[in-house]
Amino acid sequence: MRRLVDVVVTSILLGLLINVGAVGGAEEPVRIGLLCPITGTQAVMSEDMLTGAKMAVEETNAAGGVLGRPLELIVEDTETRPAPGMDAARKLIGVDRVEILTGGFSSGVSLPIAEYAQEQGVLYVLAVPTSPLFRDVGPCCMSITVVDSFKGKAVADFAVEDSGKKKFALIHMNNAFGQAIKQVTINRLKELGAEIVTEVDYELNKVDYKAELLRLFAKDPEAIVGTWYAKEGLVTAKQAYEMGLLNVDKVPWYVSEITSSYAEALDKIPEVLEGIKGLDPLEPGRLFSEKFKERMGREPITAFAAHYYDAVRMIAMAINFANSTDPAAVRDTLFEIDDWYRGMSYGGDKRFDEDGMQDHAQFRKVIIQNGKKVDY
Amino acid sequence: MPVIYFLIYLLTMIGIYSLLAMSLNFQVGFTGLINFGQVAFFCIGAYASSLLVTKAGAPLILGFVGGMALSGLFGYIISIPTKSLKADYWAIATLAGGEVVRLLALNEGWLTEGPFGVMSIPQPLRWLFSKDSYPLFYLFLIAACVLIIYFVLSLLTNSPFGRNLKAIRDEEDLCLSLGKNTRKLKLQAMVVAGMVAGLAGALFAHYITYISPENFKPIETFLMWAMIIVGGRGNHLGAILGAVVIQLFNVSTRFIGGYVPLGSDTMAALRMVIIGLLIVLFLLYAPEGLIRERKKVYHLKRKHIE
Repeated sequence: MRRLVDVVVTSILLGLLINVGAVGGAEEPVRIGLLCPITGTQAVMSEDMLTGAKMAVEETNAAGGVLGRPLELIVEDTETRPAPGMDAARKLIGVDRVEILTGGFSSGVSLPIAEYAQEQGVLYVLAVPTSPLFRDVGPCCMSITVVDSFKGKAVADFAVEDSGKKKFALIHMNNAFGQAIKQVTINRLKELGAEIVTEVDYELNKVDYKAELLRLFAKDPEAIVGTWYAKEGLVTAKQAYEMGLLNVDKVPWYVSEITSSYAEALDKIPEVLEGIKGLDPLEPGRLFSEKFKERMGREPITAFAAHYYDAVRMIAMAINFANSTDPAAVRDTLFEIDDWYRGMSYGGDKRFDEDGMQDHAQFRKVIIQNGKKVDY
Repeated sequence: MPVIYFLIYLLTMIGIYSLLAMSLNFQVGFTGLINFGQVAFFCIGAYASSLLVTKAGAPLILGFVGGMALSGLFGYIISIPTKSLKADYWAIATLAGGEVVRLLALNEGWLTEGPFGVMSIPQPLRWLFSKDSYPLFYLFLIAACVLIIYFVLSLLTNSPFGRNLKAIRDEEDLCLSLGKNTRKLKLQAMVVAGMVAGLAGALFAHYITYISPENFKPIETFLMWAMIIVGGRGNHLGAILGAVVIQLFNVSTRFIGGYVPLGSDTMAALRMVIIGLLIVLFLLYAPEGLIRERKKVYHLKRKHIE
C-alpha cells in the first residue's frame, strides 16, 4: 500500500515539475484556461462546447495566432460541482499560470471561481453562466452572454402581447438560472397588469413531474410561462400531454428558450410540442453551424457551443489588439472591440456595459409547427 | 511561486476534508452509525456561520461557534426519532436528513438566499495579512483545528465513553445487557460528530467565501465515505490519510493528463472511475483500509483461570 501512495505523490510532484519546466521557450504558445463541465450533470453538452472552443482556437491559429504565437487552451473539468471547479481554477491560475480564464457553465460553480479570479487579478470571461450576481464580482469578471434579466423580460412581453391573457402560471427550475429568470418574469408580468396565479419551482433530474404539473394547472391559469433544460423539458412535455394538460389552443405555453428547453423533446416527441411558442437566440451564425456540422457530422445540440466559440475568439482578438496578455489590458480592449466583433451567439452582436456584462440581446420568436421550430 | 499557492490550497482542502472524514469515522468507525447524510452537518456549519456573520452581523468567532453548535444540535435532533433504529434504517434516515437540509437551504430563500447562494463571506483576521500570506495563515489555522480535533477525538475514544461506543458498534445487545444507555450514547456521539463537521463547514465557507446549495449534494457524503474506506475505520489517523489519498487522486488526473495520450475530457471522466476502482480494490483486498484499527486485546492469564 505504501507503494501506491508513493506512486500518487510522485506523479503529482512530477506533474508540477514538468509544468514549471514548460515555461519559457521560443515558440511558446499563449495559454488561456478553459473551465468546462466535462463530467457531472451537464456533461451532455460539454462535447459541443469544447468543440466550439477548439474551432475558435484552430481558426485563430490558422490566421496567425495571437502576438505571433499560437493560442493554446488548457481545459479543466469542473464536474459541474463547486469544489472540483475550484480545484480546476486554482490549478489553472496557480500551476499553469494562465492570466485569462473562460468557459464556465453553472453559475453556482462559476461564482466562487470568479471571486477568486478577481482576488488574483485574473480575467474571467464567462461564456455561459448568467446569474445577475456576476455584476457585483468586480472588474475582472466579464460576460459574453446576456444575464438572465433580459430573457425573463422578453418572454413576459411576448406572452402578454401574443396571448392577451391575464392569468399566468409559471414553472421554473429551482436553481440560480431558473430563479433569476422567474423573478424578472414575475416583475414584468405584474407591470403589464397580468396576474400570477401559481409559481412552481421544480428540482432537476427527476423522472416524474406529474405533481408539479398538477400544481401548475391547479388554479386554472389562462397561459403558462416556463423554462426547462433538455431532459426536464422532455419529461414534462410528455407527461403534460399524457395528462391532457398540454392543450395550447386552450392554455398557450410560452418558453423562454425553446432550443435549450426542448432540444431532446424536439428530437423524440415533436408532435407533442405542436403549437408551443417561445423565444430563441437568433440562429447561432449559419457559418458556425455549418462548420460545426462539417467537423462533427451533426448540428450542435446546444447554443452554448457558439458561446464558447465567441468567448475564445473575442479573447484572442483582444489580446492581439492590446498587444499583450495582461488581464487589465485585455479587459480594456474587450470594451473597445465589442462593436466590431460579429459573433456567432445571440445574433452575434456583443456590447459590454460598464460592469462588463452584455447589455444587449436580441431574440427571435418561434413556434413549433410540424415538429420544427419556425419563426413566429 | 504560484505553484506553492496551489499546494497550499490543496493542503487546506485536505485539512477540511480530514475534519469531515474524522467526524464520519467517529460515527461509522467507532459507534457503528452508518451516516449517509454526513454532508448535512457540513452544510449547516457552513450556512450557520456565514449567515450569522453576513446577515446577523455577528463577529466571526461567534459564527464559527454558532456553526458548530447548530450542527451539533442537528446531530441531536436527527438522533431523537432515529436513535432506536438499526444500522440500515439509520442509514436511510440520515440520507433523507441530508437531503432535507440541502432542500431547506435551496428553498428558504429569505434566510439562505436560495439557489443564488451566500456571497462575499468575510474571512477571519483577513486585515492582518497580505493577499499572498493569507492562504498560508489559513492553512495553519486549519492545521491547528485538525490537530486539536484529532487530540480531542483521541481522548474521547480512549476514554470509557469511547469504549462504550465501540461496544455499541461491536455488539449493541451486549452493551445494553451491561446496563449502558446506548440510545443516549449514540446521541452524544452524533452531537460530537456534528460539531466537528460543523467546524469543517464553517472553515470551508470562510475560506472559499461563497457557498450555495450546490456545494452540499449527496455526492460529497460519498467522497467522505471513500476517504474512510481507503484510510481505515476506527482510527483517526486513517481518516486523515484517507482524505489525503482521495484528494490527491482527485487532482492527480489533472496533472497526468498532459503526459498520457488521452484528451483532457477522457481524463476527467476517468477520475471518478479511478475513485470507484480504488474503493472496490480496498474493499476486496484491504477491507480495513490503509491503517488498521488497533484493537486492544485483553489476555486472560492462565493461572487466574486455574
